Amino acid sequence: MTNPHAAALRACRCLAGAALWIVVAGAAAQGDPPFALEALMARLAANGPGTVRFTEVKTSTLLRQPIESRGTLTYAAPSRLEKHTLAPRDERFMVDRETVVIESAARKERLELRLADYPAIQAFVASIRGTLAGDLAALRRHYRVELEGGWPDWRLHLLPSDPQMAELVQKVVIGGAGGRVQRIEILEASGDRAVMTIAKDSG
Amino acid sequence: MSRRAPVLVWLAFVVACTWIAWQARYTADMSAFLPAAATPTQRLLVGELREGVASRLLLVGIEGATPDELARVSRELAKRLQGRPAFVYVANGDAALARADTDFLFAHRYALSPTISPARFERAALAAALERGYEALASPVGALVRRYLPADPTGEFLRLASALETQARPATHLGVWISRDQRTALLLVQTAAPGFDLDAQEANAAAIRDAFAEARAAAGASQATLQLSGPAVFAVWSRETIRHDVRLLSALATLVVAALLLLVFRSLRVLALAFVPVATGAVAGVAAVALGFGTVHGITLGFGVVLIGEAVDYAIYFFGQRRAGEPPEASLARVWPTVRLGLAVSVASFCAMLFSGFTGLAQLGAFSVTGLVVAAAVTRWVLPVLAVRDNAVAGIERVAGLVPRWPWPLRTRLAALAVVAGLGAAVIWHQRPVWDDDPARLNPVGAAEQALDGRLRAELGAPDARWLVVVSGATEEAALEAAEALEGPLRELAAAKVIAGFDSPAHYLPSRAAQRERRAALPDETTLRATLSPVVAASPFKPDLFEPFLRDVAAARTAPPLERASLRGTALGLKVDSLLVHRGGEWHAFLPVTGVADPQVLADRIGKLPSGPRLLDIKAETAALLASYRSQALALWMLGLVLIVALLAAHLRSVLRVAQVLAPLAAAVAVTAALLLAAGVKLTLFHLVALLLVVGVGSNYALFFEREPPNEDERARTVFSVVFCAATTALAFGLLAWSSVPVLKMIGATAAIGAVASLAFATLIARDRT
Repeated sequence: MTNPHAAALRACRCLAGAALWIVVAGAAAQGDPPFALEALMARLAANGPGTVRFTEVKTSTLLRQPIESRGTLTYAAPSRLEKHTLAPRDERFMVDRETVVIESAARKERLELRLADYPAIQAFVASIRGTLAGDLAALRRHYRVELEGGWPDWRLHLLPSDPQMAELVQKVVIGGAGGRVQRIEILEASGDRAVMTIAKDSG
Repeated sequence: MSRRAPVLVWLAFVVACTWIAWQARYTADMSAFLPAAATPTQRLLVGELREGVASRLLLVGIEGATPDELARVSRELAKRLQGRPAFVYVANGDAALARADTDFLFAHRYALSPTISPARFERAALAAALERGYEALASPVGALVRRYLPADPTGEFLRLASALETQARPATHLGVWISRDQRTALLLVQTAAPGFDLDAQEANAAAIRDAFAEARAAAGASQATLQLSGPAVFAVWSRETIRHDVRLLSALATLVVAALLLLVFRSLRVLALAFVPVATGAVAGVAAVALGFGTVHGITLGFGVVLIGEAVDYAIYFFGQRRAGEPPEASLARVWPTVRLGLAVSVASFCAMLFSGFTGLAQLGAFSVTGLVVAAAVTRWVLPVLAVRDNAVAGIERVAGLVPRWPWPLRTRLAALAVVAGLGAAVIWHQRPVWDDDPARLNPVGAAEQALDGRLRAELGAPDARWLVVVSGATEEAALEAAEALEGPLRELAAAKVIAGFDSPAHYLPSRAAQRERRAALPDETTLRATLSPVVAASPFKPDLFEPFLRDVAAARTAPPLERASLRGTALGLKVDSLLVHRGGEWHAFLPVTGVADPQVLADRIGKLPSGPRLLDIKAETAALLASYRSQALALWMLGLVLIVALLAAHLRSVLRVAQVLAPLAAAVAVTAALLLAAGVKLTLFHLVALLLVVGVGSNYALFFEREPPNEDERARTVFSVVFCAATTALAFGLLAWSSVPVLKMIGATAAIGAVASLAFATLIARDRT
């Protein structure tokens, strides 16, 4: 009477049920709200400070071939952001509030700028800082914000609203999954583009 | 006919004076009350105060809305002010407005960049520059660098721009200047008109207010408010306040004095006649100042009130003597000698002011001397003709009863006065420091307005302007070359941390010589192309990318030299305007130095240079200016005193009598000053002027009391006239003390106290009939 096949099937059902239960319960425990801009921002805001590794590919019409670089990206709420490029050259780019400091270890040089004077830098800083902080108001100060996708794979399209900025940056696209930012793509008005991919582990 | 002649002359005189006064231009420029500067450095300082760029800067604050709204209003306002001919420069931190600067720096980078040399265009240097550009392209500044790289691979523009960036600047919100507490959006406006052109500045302020109303509506922030500040705003405001106060207070003083005259003389005719000398004197005074100085200062007009207090005395002395049936000339004859001497004493005291180096003070002197002389002359020659039927005064005996017949001998009374004067002097000595060296005290602007100005200035990051290195030259070029010669030494000092940094007009407008040198360093197109091609080929950059660079360098080799006019409408132009000025037939370059750690080392280092630069400590120079102004005022005061004593001595011909007249004056001055000091007031030049006035009016009282009255009626009339004069004077001055203009307030309060004290002490020397 025992049908091993049926038993296997039951076991499978059980497993599937359990798996389903786990998935559903897990999702419920995680409390995924319906996917929306505000919800995504709230999730991003919950991340807190941290350092991640990145690789970046810059394609420029000025160059015969793209530039590849890698380094770390550090963020501390609400306003500190540091992009530390390790290769091809050690260069540190630090922003705190309205001040930008660019340090070149190789040249032993240090340059301090005011964010407001450089729309190009501001585009970069505002998009990353605003996204990492989950600060929708800050993003909207500089961009028209559009969201596509769902929790497992979303893309935030940031379109500069300041004509000054729009002269330099056409669009910033930030991609991610859940509360994690995975990819930052900056499309310059000149046609140049920089694609930054963020590694999974933090360190 | 001959009897009417004085009246006709008087009428013609009044018409002429009124016409001149009507045509006169009126100012409220407080720098008129700065002394004519003694040293060239001080002249420079005063010149800057009057017409320098600082005098043409308006600070604008927008408040009362959210930061986002403030930013919107700021943008809207800037948009509306930009490009108007009245405003040379408008800045609110907005990058769009800063574009003129960026464009200028980029277009003239090869003329402006101090790093231009032949070596910069050699192969190795170009290779390094491209390497650097490549690295920058990958950085977050990539988009910006990319923009300029093809035309400026050596990075001259970005270097120039970042040198400007390091200077202190306000915080921003949404790209617009805002105070650190985010409550005030900030704008800076430079007017085309100089600070002392008050009509133009008044129109400018109105234009900004109108533009603000529109901007506020356009930005949808109806609750936002406008704050305007700056020297020109203050000057306009002062003129308004002075005008308002002078009108109101002269009207009030006239009313009060008129009421008193009416109460005592009970005759409208006497009332009208009593004002004839005053009015004539005032109009003549204004006309004299207009003729002598070109413009009439508002403060001078304020003195019209003072004149009401003093010149009405002459009419009172005259009418106080009128008896029924007596010809007017006979009444006048009894007082005229004393009035004449009193007039001479007053004129002597004001004459000292005439010789003052301060335009404002000299004006007050000219106005008062003319006013008093004319008022006295009208009393002497016109009043008796007009005042045929006027009769005796009621209540003389009652007033006379107010002045006691002192039981003590004169010498005892003089000794008592000497003791009072001594006590006053002791208080003055004890209350040291006596002098107020704060120029802000002369400023008619209220503390709240000054605080607003200070706040806006601090937020706008106005540089600490204490130390200036000044070099001068016969031409603009010479001054610029001298400024460039300072570049090396100042850089060394900055490296040695003796100074934190410095600015120079040559950074924005290099001398022709420097421009020529830089141009000569630029290679011709063929050479540059030959050097650059292999460098580009070895780089990651595409060939032909740097065509704009080749083109711009070639253009810079033949470009006309950079001139001052090329800078117009940029922030850099504003800087050059303030740092390179033409005054007193010479060109001066100012190099503001910040963070001076050791002034002596700085002074020694630059002192060795052949161009003869001077280190100017604005703080010390201002203090020196004020000290010189005070000592000058004191010297004038002493001169006035010597003149008065000499006059009295010449007329009275008796040491005792001179002492008798001087004793109450000395006591009154000492007690008034002591009272002011005890009340916590520090004395200024204007207190001195007021004390001089006290001597002027007090001498009249003393002279009248010092006379030996021929009979009881005469004594009563003298007492009556003097008490009445003191009452009108104290009232007129007392009203002035209510003015919101500090200068008028000081003079008013001091002179009112002084007039009462003079009367009180003069009664001590009153002689009875022997």
